[in-house]
Amino acid sequence: MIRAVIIDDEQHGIDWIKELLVPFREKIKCVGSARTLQNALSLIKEVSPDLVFLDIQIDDRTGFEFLQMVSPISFEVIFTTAHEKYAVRAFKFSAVDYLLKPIDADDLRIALLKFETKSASKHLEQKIDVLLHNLEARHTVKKITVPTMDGYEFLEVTDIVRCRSDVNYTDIHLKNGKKITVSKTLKSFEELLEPEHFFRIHNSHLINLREVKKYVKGKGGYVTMNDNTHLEVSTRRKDAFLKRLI
Amino acid sequence: MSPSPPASARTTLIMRAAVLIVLIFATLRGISQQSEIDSLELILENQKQTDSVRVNTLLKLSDALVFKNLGDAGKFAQEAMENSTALNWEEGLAKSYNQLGLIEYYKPDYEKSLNALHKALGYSKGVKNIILEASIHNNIANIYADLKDYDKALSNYRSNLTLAREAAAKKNELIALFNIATIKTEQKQYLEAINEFLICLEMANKKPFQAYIPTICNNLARTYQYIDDNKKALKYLKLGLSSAQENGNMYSQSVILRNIGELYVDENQMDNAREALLKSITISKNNSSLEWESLAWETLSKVYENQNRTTDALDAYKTHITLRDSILNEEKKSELIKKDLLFENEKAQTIALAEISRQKTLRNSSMLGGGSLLLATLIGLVLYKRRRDALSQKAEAEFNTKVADTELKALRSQMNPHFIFNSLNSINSFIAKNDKIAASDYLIKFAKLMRQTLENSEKKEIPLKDDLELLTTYLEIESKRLDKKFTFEIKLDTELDAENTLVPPLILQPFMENSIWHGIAPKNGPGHIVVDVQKKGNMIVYAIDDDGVGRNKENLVEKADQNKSLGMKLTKSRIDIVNKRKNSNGNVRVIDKDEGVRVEVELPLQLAF
Repeated sequence: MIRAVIIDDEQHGIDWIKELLVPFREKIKCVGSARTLQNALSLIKEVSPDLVFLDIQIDDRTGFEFLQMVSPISFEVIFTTAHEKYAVRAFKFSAVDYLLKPIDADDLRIALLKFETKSASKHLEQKIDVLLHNLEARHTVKKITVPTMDGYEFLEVTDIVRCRSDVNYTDIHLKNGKKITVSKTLKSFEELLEPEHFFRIHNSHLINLREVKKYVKGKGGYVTMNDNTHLEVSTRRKDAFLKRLI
Repeated sequence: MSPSPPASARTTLIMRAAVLIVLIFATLRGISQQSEIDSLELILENQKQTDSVRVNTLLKLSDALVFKNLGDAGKFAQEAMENSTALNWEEGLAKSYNQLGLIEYYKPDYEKSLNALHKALGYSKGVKNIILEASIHNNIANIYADLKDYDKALSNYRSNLTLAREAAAKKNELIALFNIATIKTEQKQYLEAINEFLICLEMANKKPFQAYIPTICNNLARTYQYIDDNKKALKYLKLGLSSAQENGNMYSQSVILRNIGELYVDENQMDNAREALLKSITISKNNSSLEWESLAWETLSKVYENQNRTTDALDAYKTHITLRDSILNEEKKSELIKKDLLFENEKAQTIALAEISRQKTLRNSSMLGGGSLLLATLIGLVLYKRRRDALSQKAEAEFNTKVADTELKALRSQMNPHFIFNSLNSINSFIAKNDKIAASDYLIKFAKLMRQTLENSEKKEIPLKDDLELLTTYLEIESKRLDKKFTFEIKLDTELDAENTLVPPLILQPFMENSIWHGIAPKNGPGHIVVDVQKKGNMIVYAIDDDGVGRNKENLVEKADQNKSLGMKLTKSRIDIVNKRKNSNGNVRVIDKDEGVRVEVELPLQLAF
């Protein structure tokens, strides 16, 4: 039985999740709820839950502050939020789960399924670290959490030279020559990394613009990366690419 | 007949600075009426002999025709020049070249104009005719003014003024005063300029100077506009216009009408503006005055934009650009000829120096000087030309993109409210029916749709896959709203790569809305909607089929039709803009079937990679 706690400053937010959890009562049980950070902290100590539904905005504080106050973090977190664009990006970067309000029953079901299949929460602290790091360091080096076959890799964005698509998988090539295969589409990485000086030059290539060594003109032309790979630039992407590059 | 220096209007052609002011050119003859032209032609018929009388008549005729038929005016001036050459008559040559210079100026061909005026000046030196010389100086000064060399222009005008007062030539005095005032406007000394213009206007009110009134009024109005006194500006423009109409001065009419149009745009009186501009364009065309036609089109495009006639606006703007480009070419040439003249001048000096130094020592150094001067000038010219070309091309391209983008953004942002309120109405109806689960379900789906819509409608294009997802959410919502009254399916051509194909977001939504609310909702029994996305050559074709009641039975309710046409209109405009940008021929077809309606939307196929 999963023991869950709901933290939300609005009662109807708590009520709605409780209601959505009713069909899952065989598997999951709500063992408490809190509407302030103070109450939440003592609740966690008291019940040590497995899972916390954590609202981002709690009065004038945030759920992130709450996580910084808890140590060690011995539970999984699913954030709930209405529309905080930058936070959603940070979640994606950190592979932390989140639900958008108003919460859809289907989305909740998927999140719970993910929770069940997750390996023991040994990476949790690290994932939260990456999340908090990215939230603080909005303009400096960002980190990215990528799920691999045997857990998670925590990468600095600047260490990535390029990503190559392989149908539903993506190969991430790092500065040190290492290659990581992730079961996510190149498109999801494109969305994530585009604002961080990355550009998709081709259907199968997303590159770090800081790692471009040379561009050779042609119909679309091609680039040489710092790891000496030659990559073709798609004709349709050429203009936009040159605009980003210069 | 002694040469009397009179008037005509012409523009300064400095487009970039949008100088819409007119300087007065000194010609050698009075402004003429049609009757005068007729009688001159008659005299010419009877005067076949090549002599100074014929030359003068030819010049008079040419001048009389300047604002009525520039081509004929040029022919007569040319003949006058040839006759003078045959007679070896310097004064005639000076007058003829001055006239030719003016004609080229109105065309406008600065290169030829400057050449002719310099020749005229050369011949006039040999003739003791203060007024003739002063007039030519005035004309050259005008070109300096055009080239924005205001100090040189001003000093030329001032010496012209002095000469004119010396010779008690009222017209020359008026012209000089007027041109000085114009330059002062350029130099932003508005109040002084206004005072001087008003003096000019007073002088021009006396016969035979009335022909100057339109030009004076035009510049005075412009100066008032600079100090934001639009009321006075309009007053003088109207005064000028009626005077120009009395004189049959087409050129001034087109100039003033265009400026009136602009003033109305400023005052947000779009219909008045349009009327004035269209008149101006017609007159400019008849008078082949490129620059004012171009400017009128530009202002007209603003008017259309304001009236939401986007297609007309774009067309007007294109016409403006085309005309402007041909003028810019002329402008470039004039810049070149100016530099050439300077160079010739310096070369002459260099040669003189070389003569001296040859007698003294070597001549090599000066040759080197000449060579490097030539080189420097050439490099300067090349750089100038390049920069100029690049700038104008860039500006044009940027403007066009901006226009299209702004229009698209405006259209997209009009789509959303329509969407939102329809959905809110549905939620309300669930609440009214006390159906808690359905209301909640619906609301969550709606929130999702809103999120997707907000994210996507910001974008010009989104992957087909995202668009179809959005459409699915939309159809699910509507199906819920209508209590599953209809089912739907979305078919996708296997040849289409939905992730790699870019489409404008939500282009189909208005048609879906029609199918659901005007096709299926009024129908007895369930309905079905099929969306079929196909690749056809280099086009993507959406087909929406419904089995609703169709269009014919549904024209009972006026209101519904109005709502319906808004979405359709927006979509059509969006497709039009896509066509403009991509130079494609996308379109919408609505086909009435036996049962229901089929809509086909065709767009250019665009791939992301």
